Amino acid sequence: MVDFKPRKMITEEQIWSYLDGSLSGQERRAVDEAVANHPATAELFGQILALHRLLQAASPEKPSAAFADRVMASVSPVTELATVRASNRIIFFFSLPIILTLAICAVLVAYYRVPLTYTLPFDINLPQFKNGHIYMVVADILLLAYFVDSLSEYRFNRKALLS
Amino acid sequence: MSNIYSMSANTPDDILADRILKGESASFKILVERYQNLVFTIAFRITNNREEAEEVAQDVFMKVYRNLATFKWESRFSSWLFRIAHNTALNKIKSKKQEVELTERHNTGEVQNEADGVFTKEYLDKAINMLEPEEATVITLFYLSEQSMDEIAQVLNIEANAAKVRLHRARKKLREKLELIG
Repeated sequence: MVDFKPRKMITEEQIWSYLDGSLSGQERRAVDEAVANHPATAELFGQILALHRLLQAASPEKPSAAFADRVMASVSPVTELATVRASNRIIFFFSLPIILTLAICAVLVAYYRVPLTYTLPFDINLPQFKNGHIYMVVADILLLAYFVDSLSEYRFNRKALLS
Repeated sequence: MSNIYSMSANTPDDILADRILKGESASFKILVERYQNLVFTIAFRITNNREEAEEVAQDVFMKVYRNLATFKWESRFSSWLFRIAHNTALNKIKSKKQEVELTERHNTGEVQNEADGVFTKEYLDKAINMLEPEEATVITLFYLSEQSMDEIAQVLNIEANAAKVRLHRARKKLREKLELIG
């Protein structure tokens, strides 16, 4: 009678792959056969299976109970920066058009002697005070100063956030 | 209120990240609580010291918070997080000059065990702490996280085949160390 026992030895890697479920049907049958017919293979399979089950049953280590709170406490100054950064971005993108518009209006009023009402895109009765363009320039300078301050704070916060 | 909390606890990582970038720090706490155990475990299995592992884990979450806006979502958030954890822990032991200590620990390599040679969790933990950092991380991610081998390879910045080899090597080493008493 011919001995049909598999001649090719089953490797440890094959046994692990068997337990991982990554072998084909034919390969699985080869391992089953080797385990059934070779005591040494069966012993190795048993050892690997025991370790595999132990690894599967393992759970992660846990940090101390206050860990998450400590992380949040260290993050909180960065959170404030992020909030300030967001508000600075709003200032940056809204104040610039306003400043430019006022600057153009001031130029039109001052140098081309355009009456104040004509600088507005809509019809509205405004008091015709004599040096209206000067007030526009003052308002423009104040807004520009605020814009520059916000911009520098934005750039500072961004640098701190990304450092 | 409890419904809102449970909904937040199951919120996907990308939505939490979006809220964090808009300034919602509470969403970041959810992210921390979701991954703190795994990040700590990766760090602990490399540093083999609980205090240092907590320092590393805290450092990891700070780095994630600072650089969240730069994450491009081309891979899973957890892969990116675990990669930072692995690298930060490695840097920690390098800075502490623990590599020599680690090598010496590997060379002694014996795990004292009880009489009948049954594998126990305690000795498994000790054996894992004797592995190379990359091997320890592969074992940790393969059995404790939902990372595929491709994702584990990304965490370690190696090819997928190399990650499989590391896993096999780690398992073999673990078995050898635990069998020494046999």
